Amino acid sequence: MNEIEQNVSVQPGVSSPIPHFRIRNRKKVEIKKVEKPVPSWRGHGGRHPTASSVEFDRQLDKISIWLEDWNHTQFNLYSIEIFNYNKKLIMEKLKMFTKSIFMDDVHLFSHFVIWFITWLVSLCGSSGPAQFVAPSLLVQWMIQVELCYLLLQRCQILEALLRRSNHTQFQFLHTALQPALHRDFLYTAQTQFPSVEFKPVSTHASRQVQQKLILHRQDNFYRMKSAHFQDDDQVIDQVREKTSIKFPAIPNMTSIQHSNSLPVQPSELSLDLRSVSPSHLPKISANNHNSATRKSAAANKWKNRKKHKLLCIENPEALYKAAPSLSLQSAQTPLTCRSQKSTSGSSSRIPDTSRIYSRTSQTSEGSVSIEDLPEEGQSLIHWYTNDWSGYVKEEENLDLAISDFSFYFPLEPRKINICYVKNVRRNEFLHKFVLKLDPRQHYFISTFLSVRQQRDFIALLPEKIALKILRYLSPLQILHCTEVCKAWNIIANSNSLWRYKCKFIDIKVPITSHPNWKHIYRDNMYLAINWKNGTCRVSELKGHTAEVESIVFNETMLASGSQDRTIKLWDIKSGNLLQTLKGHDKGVWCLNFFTKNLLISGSHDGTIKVWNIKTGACLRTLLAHDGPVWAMVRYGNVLVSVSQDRIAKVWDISRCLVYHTLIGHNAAIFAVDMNEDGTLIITGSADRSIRLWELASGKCIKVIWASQTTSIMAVSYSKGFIACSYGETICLYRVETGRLVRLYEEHHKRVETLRLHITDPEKVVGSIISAGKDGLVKKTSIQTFQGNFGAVKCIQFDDLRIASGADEKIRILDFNIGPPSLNSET
Amino acid sequence: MPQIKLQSSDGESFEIDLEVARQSVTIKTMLEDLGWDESDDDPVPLPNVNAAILKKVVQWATFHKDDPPPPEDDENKEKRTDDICTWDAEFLKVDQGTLFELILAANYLDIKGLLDVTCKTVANMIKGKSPEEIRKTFNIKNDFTPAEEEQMMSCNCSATME
Repeated sequence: MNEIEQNVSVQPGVSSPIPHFRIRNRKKVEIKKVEKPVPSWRGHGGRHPTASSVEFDRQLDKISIWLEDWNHTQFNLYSIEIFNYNKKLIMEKLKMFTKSIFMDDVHLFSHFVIWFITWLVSLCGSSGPAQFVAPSLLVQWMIQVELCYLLLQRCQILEALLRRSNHTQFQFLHTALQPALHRDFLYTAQTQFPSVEFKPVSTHASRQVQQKLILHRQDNFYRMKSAHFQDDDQVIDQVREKTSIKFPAIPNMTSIQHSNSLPVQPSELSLDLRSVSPSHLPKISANNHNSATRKSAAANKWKNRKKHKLLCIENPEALYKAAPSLSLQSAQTPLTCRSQKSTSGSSSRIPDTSRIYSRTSQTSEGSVSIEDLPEEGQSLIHWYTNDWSGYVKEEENLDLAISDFSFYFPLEPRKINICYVKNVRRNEFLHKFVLKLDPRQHYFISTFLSVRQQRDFIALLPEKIALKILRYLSPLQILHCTEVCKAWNIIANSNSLWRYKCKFIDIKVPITSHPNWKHIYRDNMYLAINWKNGTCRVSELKGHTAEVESIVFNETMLASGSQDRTIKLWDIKSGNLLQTLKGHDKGVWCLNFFTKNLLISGSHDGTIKVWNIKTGACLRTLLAHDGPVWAMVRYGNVLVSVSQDRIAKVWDISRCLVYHTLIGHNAAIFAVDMNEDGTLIITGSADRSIRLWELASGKCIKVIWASQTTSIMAVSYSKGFIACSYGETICLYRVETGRLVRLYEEHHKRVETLRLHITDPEKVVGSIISAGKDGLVKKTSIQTFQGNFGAVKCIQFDDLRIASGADEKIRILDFNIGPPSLNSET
Repeated sequence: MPQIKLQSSDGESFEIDLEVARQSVTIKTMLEDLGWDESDDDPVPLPNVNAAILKKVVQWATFHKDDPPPPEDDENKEKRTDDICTWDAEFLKVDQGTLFELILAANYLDIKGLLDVTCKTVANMIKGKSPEEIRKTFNIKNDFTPAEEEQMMSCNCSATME
């Protein structure tokens, strides 16, 4: 049983359907038979033994034996009580040490031997405890160095394995190592919430690991401070803080009484540790190879290694930077390393180990060179990497719950099957493996995993949940998310997400039948910015031959009424003339859309006409007033017209009937408006008063004497406020109290028309757009738009644009024009 | 207090109070559909949750057993992420892998409170980060070509967003 299959060997890199774990040789190690019934690590669903699984188990057992050996050696070394050493043991130890470490390096070896003999001779001259203490200290130190290399080597193998693992293995290890990972959470939680019972997670594997932890309770410095790592830097800090592998300091022999008799000062102990690579460590088993070939092989490795080192030296800084090293820092080893001639006199201060433990980069997975590892290690890694497809062939019919894995591996069923089998077997192996390790290795795996545990939440989680997460973010953050990667881009651009975001803003841009909500959100934002900055596109509509007196528009069309007695209809986007309506005897002073196809116009000739826009035919003519109809307002079917004849009339326009005749003003009425729910009518008159009428009864309920001097030219109602203009003055009244709130004197000449838009009645926030004879369209207190043409007679605006008419031209200021930066020149 | 047994995917059993378990809508409906009564001793199988995660879920549910039922999602209310209670914040100081599994478990078990708080935690991890920082946080590879990236940048004009 001692010699195990030397002949079965697979060269690394040679692909083989069934990889074999190669074990070179083994020292006298009793194979501890697993006495317990097969633990559940072989359980994972309980498979029936097939030819391939038997082969797999055989391989696993072989590895297990090797690991047992591994374990054995390590704990032997670890538990040595130095001070009980007798001379014989020291000599043995020294022999082993020198043989193993300096075997391949003649210069180093001879140097050490010379140093050692001189030292021994000098020791013989001395007396007292130093005779024992000094060498035992030295041995202690040597053992520790050896141990460190052993540990490093082990970590190296572990890292190589982990780099070849996937999510499933990580998950398994995570669970198994939960006791190590979550301790910090448990501690803090217990102090903060003493009444709540916290216990670490418990699975079969984790309990076994826990038992091992308890066994080595004295090693509790291998504890992670926190499992909540967000990036590499945090992990590096942690690892630096808790470096579990430290090169011991040289025993301070000067402290020993007879130190003077030592011909060699401690500082002369010039072992170049950099030249000691893990491959030169004592093997688990004695070397029974032909020593010549062994040496030449080792020499080759040595050369290779030097090459590696030189590569590193070329740009050490860059190396450190490029690698956010998960380095088990030996750079800070207290040992002073002196270069030796034999090691090509390199002056690098970077120990080899830093190269080994540098994480070259996140993307170059599996790039860790395994050539420095002992053969068993290489063989193990090769065995682990193979996908065991040779086994799987027979097991295609495995009835496996593969659905869980399709999530992570969107592959065809057969491939999933292979993945599944591979994962199960790897986990079986890992389970066994983890139990053979000691807390230091557990700590290493935990640390390594904690940077590997990053999850691409958005791409991996079900879309529903990913969207739920993104909903918590601001639009700006969502935009950032679209730039992360393609998968994020698709989810962060999802229509439903932006639709949700659109709910929290006041959407003013028109919404199409199949809206792209992201664009709507964007356009809406641009619109707000354009309004704020006064960025707009100005277009002029020319066609009327006399002054334009009224303007009205809806989503698609703009209608204008002019002194030339015509009404013209324009396409609001292109500015093309669509229709000219002729019929009034005098100028058209007011307009109102009734439906998409019906337009109502009020004229100086005292009539109100209803037009079919498409055909251009006049459908009805209402002989409404005895004087010019100056203004109209419509709410649903209710139309209110006001006239020079001091009367306001309320119509049911669908039936062309008069509801009420509002009598009260002592002079011509110039302006009219209604409130948002159509229950209140506001009229502004030349008698300097504003009257409020109740629609239902037709009674005047309030009179506000707004002006002292001249007639009121315009009124506009919004959310409990009335803006009115007389002369150059605009004033704002609160309807409830009838009191003046604010007074604006922004215009130089008479204000002809205005619109009030209150956004927040509590704080009286809003805007007044006004225009007058001075040719200016003003959005009061925010911005002045230069109208710079003749007197503006009429104005209309909505959320997107302002349209104004003056002289014979119509000007549209369009704010819905996309990003302000692109249009700033216009 | 009646007890109920839950069985994780890897065969671990947890015995917890019925009231605690009923926070999970999935378990609740399962019990109702099966007509479960107190004398029943069979564990409820939860094939999608492993023991480690189920343990954490049970911890969470036990702490929150007296909470009022979470309000129904108001679609018209902007969601906040800064209202995570200290216990939850401490509880969710876990690695991303565990957090990931917790979200999946909360989704499967239909525990709205836990799903909300875990999603908020992830949102907080994204918040205030540039795309590059987000990539670093979650170890994501940038798979855009430079041309695509440029086009996206000009299209997004993210500087003008608020």
